[in-house]
Amino acid sequence: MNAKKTLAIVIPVLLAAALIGTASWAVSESKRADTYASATDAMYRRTYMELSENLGNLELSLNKLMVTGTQSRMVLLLDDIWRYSGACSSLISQLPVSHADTLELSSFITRVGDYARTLTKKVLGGQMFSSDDSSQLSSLHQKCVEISNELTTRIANGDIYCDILDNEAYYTQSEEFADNEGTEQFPTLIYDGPFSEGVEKAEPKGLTGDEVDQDTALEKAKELIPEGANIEFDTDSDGSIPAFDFTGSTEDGRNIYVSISRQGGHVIWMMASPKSDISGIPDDNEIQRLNDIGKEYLSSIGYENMVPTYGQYTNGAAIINYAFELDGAIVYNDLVKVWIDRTDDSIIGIDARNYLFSHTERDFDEPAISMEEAEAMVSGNLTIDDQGLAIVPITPQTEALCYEFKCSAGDNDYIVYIDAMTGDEVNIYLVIHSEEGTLTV
Amino acid sequence: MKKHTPSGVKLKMALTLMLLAALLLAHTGTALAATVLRYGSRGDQVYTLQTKLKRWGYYSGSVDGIYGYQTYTAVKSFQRKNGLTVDGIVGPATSAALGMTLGSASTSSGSGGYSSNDLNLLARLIYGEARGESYKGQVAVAAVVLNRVRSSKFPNSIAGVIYQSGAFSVVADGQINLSPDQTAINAARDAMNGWDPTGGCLYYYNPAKTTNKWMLSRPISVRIGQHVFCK
Repeated sequence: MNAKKTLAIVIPVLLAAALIGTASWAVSESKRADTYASATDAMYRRTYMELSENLGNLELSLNKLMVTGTQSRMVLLLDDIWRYSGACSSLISQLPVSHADTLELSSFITRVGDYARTLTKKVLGGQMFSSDDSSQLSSLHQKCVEISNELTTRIANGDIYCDILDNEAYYTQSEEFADNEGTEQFPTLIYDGPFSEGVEKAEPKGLTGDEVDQDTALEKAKELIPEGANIEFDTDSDGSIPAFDFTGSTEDGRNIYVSISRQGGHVIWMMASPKSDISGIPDDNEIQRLNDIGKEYLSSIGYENMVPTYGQYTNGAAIINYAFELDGAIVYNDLVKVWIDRTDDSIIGIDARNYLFSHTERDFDEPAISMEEAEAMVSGNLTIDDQGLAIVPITPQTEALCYEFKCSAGDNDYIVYIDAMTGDEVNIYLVIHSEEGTLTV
Repeated sequence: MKKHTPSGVKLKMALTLMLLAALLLAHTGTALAATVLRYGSRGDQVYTLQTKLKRWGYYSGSVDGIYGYQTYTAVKSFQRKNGLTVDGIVGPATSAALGMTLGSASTSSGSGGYSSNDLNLLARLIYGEARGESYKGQVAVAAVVLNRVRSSKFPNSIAGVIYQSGAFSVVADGQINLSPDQTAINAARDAMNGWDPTGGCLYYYNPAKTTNKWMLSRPISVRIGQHVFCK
C-alpha cells in the first residue's frame, strides 16, 4: 500500500534528520560550554595572579614601614598598605575557594588594612608607633611573607583551582586546614577599628538588670504590642544578646514579632507590619506630632531623655531615630528607632539594639575650646546654619565630645563635627534628602 | 516485504513520534531563571510577557507562564512589528521594547547608605532563598548578608557577599534573577533599616537538607522556620 511504503521511507528520514539535528546542536552547545569554561578559567587565573602581586606589594610595604625614619614616609607607606590590603581582600573574595578554608585569611588581610588606617590617624595626630605596634607590625610582616611565598609556589605548580565552586564545596574544609584550629594560624591583631576583633565580640554595655524568666518576658512583651494583639512564646535566641522571641498577630491579622532580652527583660526589637503603604515626608507640624508620639512612648517604656534626630517616612510607617541626650549633647550611639503607623499613630516597631550595646554612664569634661573657636575650624566653603553639642564615635571603642555644625554649600547640606577638646575636624557627613526622609553618609 | 499488521504500523508511528518529541524537548530551554526568555522558559516573567502580548493583540493563547509555540510566534510578531531581530527570544532589546525589566524589581530609594540596586539585589536573594518562610525568616536571611558585609571574614559589600563564588546556591542556579515579590522587597528594606532577628549570625542552613560537616559544627543561635542560624 502506498501509505505504508511512504511511511516506511518518511519515518526513517524524519528520525535521521532529528538525529543529525540533535547531534549538530550538541556539538555547538559543547563548543559554547568550552568557550565559557576557558573564559572562567582565565578569569580565575588572573585573580590568583593579581592577588599574588598585591600580596607581594603588601609584604614589601610592611617591610619598609618597619625601617622608615620619617613620619611622612610612614604615612605614605601606611596608605599603600591600606590600599593593597583592600585589593587583596577584594581579590580573595572573588576566588573559587572554600570559605571554611579561607575565612581566617580573609579576616587577617582585612584587619591588616584596617589596622594600617588606625596607625595613619595616630601618626598624623603626631604620635609615633608604640612598642606594641612595632611588634605587631613585625609579626604581620612575617605572616605576609609566608602567605605570599605559599601562593607564588602554588601558582607556579599549577596547584590552584580555577573552576566553578559549588555551594557544598564553599562550606567544606579541606584536610590540611581541618587539623589546625584556625586561631593559631594568624597573629591576633589588637587595635581599635571597624573590623577588629573587639567589634566582632562586643558586649552589650547597656544591658542592665537580672535574668528574667520566660513568663516575665512575656508580660513585658505584652506591654509593648498594639491594642488587641496577641503573642506567645516562639523560641529561645542565643544571638549577641540572649533573648526570648515571641510571635503572634494583631487584631486584623498582621504578623507581629517581639524579642525580649533574658538579662533585664529589655525589648531588643518589636516588629509588626504597617496597615498601609503611605510614603513621603509629611509637613513640619505632622513631623513634630509624630516625634512627640514616639518620645512619649519611649518614656513610657523607660527610655528617658531621648531626642528625635532623623526620620524616614516610607511604606506606611514613620521610622524615627531617637538618641539619648546627656547635658545638652546628643549621644548618637545610644540610638533607639521607633516605627509609627501612619494611619492610626500606633507604635508598630521598635529597635533598641544600638542603645543596648552602647549606653553607659559617661563623664565628659567641659569643652576646652569655645563654640566660636570651633566655628573657625569649619571650612570657609560652608555656611553654618545651626550648631549644637554631640558625643560621637571616633573609633568603635572611643567617643569624643564635639561641636556639631549643620552647614550648607550650594545645594548640598553637610554636618561637620569639631572635637571640643582639640579643635580637630573629626568627621563630615553629607545629608541626603530623599522623598522619604533624610540620611547622612 | 514483511506484512505489518495495522496495529504494528500504529505502534511504530507512536514510537517514532515519541522519539521525535523526546529529541525536540532536548533542544528546549532549561528551567533556569534567566535574564533571557525563550521557548521552554517558565515562570513569573513569562506570565508577564504573555499578559502584555495578549493585551496588545499579539498573543491569543492562555496566560499560563509557559513559553510554548504560541508565545514564540507572538514574540516573533512583536519583534517583526517593532523592527527588532526576529528570533523569538526575549533578550535585552526585546524586553526593553516590551517595557519589561527581566530579573529586577520596582526600586525605591535606598536606606542606611546602601543604594537601590543593593536593595533590589537583596530582595532577589530573599525571594530565591526564603520565599516560603515567614516574614521574620525572610528578614533573617537578609540580615545574614548584612552581618557578613560587616564581618572581616567576608567581602565588604552586599554584591560581594551575595555573588561570592559558591556562597548561595540561588546564584548558581539562576533563581537570583527572578523578580521578587513585595514581601521580599519589604523584608530587604527592614533588614537594611537594622532589624536583625538572628542577633548577629553569619550562616544559616536547612537541617533537613544539609549534610555538610563544617556547617553542622557551627554553634546555633536561633531557629526560624526551616532555617537554623549560626555564628
